[in-house]
Amino acid sequence: MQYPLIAGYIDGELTPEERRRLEEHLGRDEHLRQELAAQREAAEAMMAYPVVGVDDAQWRQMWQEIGGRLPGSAKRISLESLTEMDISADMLNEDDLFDQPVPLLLPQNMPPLVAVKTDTLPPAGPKPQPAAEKASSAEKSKTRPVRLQGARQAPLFEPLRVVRSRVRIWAHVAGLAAAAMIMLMVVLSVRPVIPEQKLARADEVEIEMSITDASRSMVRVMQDEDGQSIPMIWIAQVPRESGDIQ
Amino acid sequence: MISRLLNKQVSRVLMAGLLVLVSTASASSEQGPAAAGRSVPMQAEGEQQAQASEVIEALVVLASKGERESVDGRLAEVAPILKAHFGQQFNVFRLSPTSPTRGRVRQGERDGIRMSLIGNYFLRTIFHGVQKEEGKPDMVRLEIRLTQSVRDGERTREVTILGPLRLSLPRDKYFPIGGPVVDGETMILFLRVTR
Repeated sequence: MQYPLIAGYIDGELTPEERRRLEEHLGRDEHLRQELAAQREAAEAMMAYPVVGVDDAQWRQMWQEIGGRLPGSAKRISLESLTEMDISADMLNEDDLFDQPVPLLLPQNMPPLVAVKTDTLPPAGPKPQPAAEKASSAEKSKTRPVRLQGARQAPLFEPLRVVRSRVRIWAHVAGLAAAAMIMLMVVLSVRPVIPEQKLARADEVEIEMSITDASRSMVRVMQDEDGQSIPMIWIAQVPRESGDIQ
Repeated sequence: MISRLLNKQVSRVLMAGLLVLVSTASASSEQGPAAAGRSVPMQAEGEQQAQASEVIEALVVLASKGERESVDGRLAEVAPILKAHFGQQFNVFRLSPTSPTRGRVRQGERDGIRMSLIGNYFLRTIFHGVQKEEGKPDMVRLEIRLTQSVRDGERTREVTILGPLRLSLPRDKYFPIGGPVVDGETMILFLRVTR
């Protein structure tokens, strides 16, 4: 059973009302208390691991190593799917990979994961598939399931995976937002601010100009496509000293 | 792929930017007197006062001669008319980044309003009322003055470049005034009256 509020309770992110409700349930529900204890232990275990910095070069090298061992389409496999319990045998180069340490980014004190064939392991996990059903489904998909030995510690990666998935959602939203912004900027950049039909035609304007202005400026007449006159005042000579108003 | 590289903070900033952009775009994309009215606090002033005031909008187009022809997409409709008139004189037309400028001018204000155009150029406008004739659009009577502020020692003076000039314009029509040169580009001001 899922208890979505427990993680927030451990991280102190619940509202007072949610906290009160959860604590009421905790008082009544033994399973919930066990779940809380398990998640708290996991969280503390996570916090206990030192954070090892991996620079871009190391990261690229690691993925090149993984990619070199995987055939074709399997090179697109992500770190997240490698932490799953089962992966398909046809995605891995068995000769190279089986019984070899899988180069995952693991905490320092955690033993490296080793890929082994499923039939060498007893069924594991909370809901093991019946062997016959598993074999038939494997035969159907023409893949042979393998298991990463040591991956029983995968719950340690669970909070990390949640964070990653949230970041991924936000990244998708950000990508969409960026694309929308670019489209909006393109639309705005081409939208005419002075439509041609909004230019005042000669018969729509009255101008009274002083003699001084008439001597240093002129009324020029432009024409639109239909030959209609569009008047414009053109200042030919900018005075230097005359006409101070302040 | 690109989106994977973006982190949570960046996405939030982008979302905020998008919201700002969308709100700005929706405000600026609406044309006509109603939109101009919203851009200036006028709704609460009552009909009588609204009739005795107008919104002046100034758009500054900068024209120059470049090695290659270039026209701002927003000037796509007016640029051919300008090019046809000026011939080889200008082949680059762009909209001033500070445009448009808007200001509300009220009838009876002796000094009117002063709007910044570009560089040290300003537009002073006095509103003299609306001329109504049956069967014709209203004509808004304005007195305009194009000025330039110049430094004279420690003092700054404002020199009149053009005007006072009396103009009668229908609402929502642009009237061009050009000629002054700003940093090597020729300014063409498009003046419009809205409500």
